[in-house]
Amino acid sequence: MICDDARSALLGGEAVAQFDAHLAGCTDCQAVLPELEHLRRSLADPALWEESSRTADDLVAAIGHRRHVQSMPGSRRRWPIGVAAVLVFAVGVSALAIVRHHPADWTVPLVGAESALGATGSVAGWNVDGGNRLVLETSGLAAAPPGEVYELWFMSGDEAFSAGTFTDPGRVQLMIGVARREYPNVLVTLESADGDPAPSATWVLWSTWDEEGR
Amino acid sequence: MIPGRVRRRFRAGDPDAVRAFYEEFQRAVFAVTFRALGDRGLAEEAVQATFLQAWQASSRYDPERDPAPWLYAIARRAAIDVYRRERRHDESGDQPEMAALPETFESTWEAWEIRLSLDRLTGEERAVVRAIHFLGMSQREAAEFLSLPIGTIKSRSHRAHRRLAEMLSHLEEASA
Repeated sequence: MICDDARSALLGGEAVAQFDAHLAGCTDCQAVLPELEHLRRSLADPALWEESSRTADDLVAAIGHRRHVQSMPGSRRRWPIGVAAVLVFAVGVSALAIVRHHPADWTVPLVGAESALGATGSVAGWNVDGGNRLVLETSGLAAAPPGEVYELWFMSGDEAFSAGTFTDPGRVQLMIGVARREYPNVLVTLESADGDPAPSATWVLWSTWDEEGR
Repeated sequence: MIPGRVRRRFRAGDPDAVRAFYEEFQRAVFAVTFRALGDRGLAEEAVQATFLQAWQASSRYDPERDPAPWLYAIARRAAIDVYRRERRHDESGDQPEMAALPETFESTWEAWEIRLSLDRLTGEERAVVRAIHFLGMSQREAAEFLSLPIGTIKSRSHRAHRRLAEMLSHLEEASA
């Protein structure tokens, strides 16, 4: 009992004169004195007392967005890589016919997501047979770290279709073999070489999310 | 303490259960990431990443077990990821994956345990402990600050520190 009171007083930084006799003779208390003192100092650490300014609502909102791109059952989630590659190649060949200075058929503004809050961008598209030729322009986004790439995705609900990867995000030309109207939402992620075909959790740019665009 | 039915809902990916986990553990997760990273903004980012990763991995969580150690491991990992990303940006010539972590990462378990213990105090007890340790007040100053009689402060302080000493005795024993 007196051990508990003595230790409480020590941890609280109180004057412990009344416990001096006990502490002098109690080997158990003497053994924990240094650690109690360490704990007392630790209790002043701001990390223990300050709190994140982000709320549970912020988290649940982020989860709401993620739910559209997480691994979900269903064969339409993503086209087989081989089919996609053939489509991308085919569209790429036909896109060569596009006159360089034609205005884009559509443009989607992008804003920085939580991993790149200061970044902005846009993706412009030219309709071609079987898909779209794309030009992605970004600002405030550093080159992808070694071993990682950026990936541009077109989304419809929980379906994600990759338009390709890149490392230098300044101005990127890509092709995609799907109609923009079928995949109204646009996302740029940072991907590691983990073999996971789904978009990663590291979102860097996204369009204004169209929840109705499923 | 998170009830079993909420743990099971968490495992199913229910956002409301994730919210309950966040309310219960976000202060301890922030203590880990802030102590490790020493930067509020980065720590907040790591907190968000921790709970998103926990939600993404919820199907692997065993609802029969205490989620605290599992969440701590995710929080520490999230802080490491943020640290290495920042290091990559600062020192692009280095091999960040090989670099040792700073000493601040060594005491994250202690921060986690202390913060969880503080959360188990009553709000009144915690206010007194905060005034004494974080704000550096004497008991008399704390009484004035909290508009309470000095006797109330003394009894709350004694009770709070006694409970803390009990709850954290395993840290004392581990180091003794």
